[in-house]
Amino acid sequence: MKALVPLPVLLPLFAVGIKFLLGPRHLRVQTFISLTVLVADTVISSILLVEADRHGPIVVQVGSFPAPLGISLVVDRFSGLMLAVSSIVTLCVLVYSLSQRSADENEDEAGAPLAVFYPTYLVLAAGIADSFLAGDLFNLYVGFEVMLTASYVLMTIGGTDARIRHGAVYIMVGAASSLLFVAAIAVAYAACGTVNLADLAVRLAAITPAARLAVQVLLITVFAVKAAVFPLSAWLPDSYPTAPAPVTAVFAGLLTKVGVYSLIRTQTLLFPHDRQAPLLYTVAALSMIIGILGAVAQADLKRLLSFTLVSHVGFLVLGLAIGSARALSGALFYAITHITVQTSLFLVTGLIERREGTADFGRLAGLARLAPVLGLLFFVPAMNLAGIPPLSGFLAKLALLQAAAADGGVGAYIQLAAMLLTSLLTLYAMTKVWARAFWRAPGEGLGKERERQIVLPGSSAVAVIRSTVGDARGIGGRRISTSESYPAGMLGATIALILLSLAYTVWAGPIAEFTQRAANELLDPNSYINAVHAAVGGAH
Amino acid sequence: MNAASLTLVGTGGLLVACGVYQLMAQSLTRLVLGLIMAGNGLNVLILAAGGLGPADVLTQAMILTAIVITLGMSAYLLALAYRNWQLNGDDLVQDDVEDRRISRAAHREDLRSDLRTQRAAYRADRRAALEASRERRHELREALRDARREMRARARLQRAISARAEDYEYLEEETESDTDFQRSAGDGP
Repeated sequence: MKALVPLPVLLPLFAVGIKFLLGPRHLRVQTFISLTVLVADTVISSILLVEADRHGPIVVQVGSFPAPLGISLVVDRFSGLMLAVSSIVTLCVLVYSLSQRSADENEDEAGAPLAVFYPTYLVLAAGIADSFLAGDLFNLYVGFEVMLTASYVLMTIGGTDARIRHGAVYIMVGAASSLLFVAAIAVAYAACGTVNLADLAVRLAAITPAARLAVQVLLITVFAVKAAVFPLSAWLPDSYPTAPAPVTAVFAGLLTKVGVYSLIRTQTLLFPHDRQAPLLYTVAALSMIIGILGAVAQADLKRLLSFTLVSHVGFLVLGLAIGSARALSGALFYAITHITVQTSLFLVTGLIERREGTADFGRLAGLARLAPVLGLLFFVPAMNLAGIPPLSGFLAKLALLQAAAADGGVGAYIQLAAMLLTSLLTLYAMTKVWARAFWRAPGEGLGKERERQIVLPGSSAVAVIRSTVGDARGIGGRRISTSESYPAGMLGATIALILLSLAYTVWAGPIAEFTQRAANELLDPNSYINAVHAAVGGAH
Repeated sequence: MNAASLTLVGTGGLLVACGVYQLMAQSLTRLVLGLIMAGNGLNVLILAAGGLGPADVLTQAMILTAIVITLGMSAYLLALAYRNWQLNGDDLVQDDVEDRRISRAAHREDLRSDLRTQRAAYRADRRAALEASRERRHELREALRDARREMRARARLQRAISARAEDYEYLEEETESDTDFQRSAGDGP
């Protein structure tokens, strides 16, 4: 079983090597490799998840080096869950992007960007898996860097003006937060003489509170940037919408969640007794409220969804801030729900762009009548995001609300109010989109083509200027070719993710029990520490 | 803490400080420089964290990894800056979209408030001018009324004088005829 643990990282990286050996031709072989690797990833992650649930944390010392030098990879219930969900999501988005590529006829002429896209996408998957598996702080940093570097390439792919401009902001923020991460590692190493998480957990308890606080605040800041928690979130809505639809979808679903995962992992494992609850409470509430107010003010679907992303990360941070088993369990349930829902919403946005050439809902109208399939595909995840019963978003938010109420105190009631207000405003934002893009009579929006009537000077003749205003761009940076039919892969991947989110609702009982077990495991760091130490002992 | 490690910490801190200062700039090239400086500063700090005893393998491994990552990042960022220069003729990092919206709104609000103050000033001017002209008209009317009154008074006076003059003429005629009569009476025999 231990042999499976490094595979989610290694397989995609090997595949990338093979792809570069093959070169840009052999399109079918390339596609086959990508699909096989991610399917294998999904299967392996699911097996690891089940095993970690049955037998406790699985620990691997890479290369059998002893702990201070060797790298530990750890799968416990939490990381197994995140790994499994993320590999399913990356697989679905891969299918979506393959289908989008073949639907955009002119994209193949672009050549170079697409030859880079799929290998980079696999590197991204490897980086995400490494971040979830990392058992020491430096390996976590490397996982982050692999993931972020791949994301920089995906963000600026095609090299169009907008992507370069917005990508520069994204890259600078990512690079600056990585610098802070290095600083955090330096401080932790200076204070404890180790970067292994299990060893750190033991040794941090012995050092002075001031030094511990320094490490803790640095780590919170780093992960808050990655997770886009409010005061450090301005980069997200600015950069995500310019990337191609599948890239935005996978970023929105997974990248911020890796930040949240690391935040929860380090806070529960390293600082079990003095989590900075007031600080986390405050930033969580501010994230929720300010994020959703930002969403309400938007006129573009992608920007609106990016702001709801900032807002709903607040729920997860809030679960950590409350810190009880019930709250963490709710946060984990919400994390997997939100990954799936947010990704499928961005994929639907991609489908809307394919049909209309734009995601600006001032221009969209009458989609409910023109494209009822899109209406359904948008409606289900949108209602799930707003937390309408009986969908899984409602169940997870209910768990968080109950946890906050059980926590008691004035702070908890402020949190309750913030959560309810955020859900209400999310519903409002989704209704706004629905009323504009879907429910207006067709032709009421500005439409695909903008018509301008100009009275020619000196005569009574009227010139009608028609300009296509479709601003959506495909993976390679060209304008996407709009069509009224949906490519099967794009539609299928979107439907698969929505069905997954519905499955969370149907099997909410077993999943909630599982997240409860995972939360209990998180609250008892000793099981993690002992498992790592046992493996290290075995490696000697 | 001995002098050597203090030097390391000082150097690292200085490099990070310079790097962070560069990171405040808007030009991508400067940002890359800042990134490299701060990254190197942090590497020196990791070295200091390992202590100066027998070579600490772990710190060196970490520093090497960090150097490689920084190198790759710098190369990519420089390529990005070049592409930006190709497309736009500069390598400036754009302001946040929301910031731009807010600053546009602020600019609009500035313009609007300028307009408001100008309009207020104009209104005040016009009001003052109106006030002045009303006063002037009032004065003119007063003057006209005075003039009319004076004319009327003068006319009355004229009439009075002329009436009196007629009376006087009549009287004079009367007296003349009387005197004629008297004279004739006196001259008569």
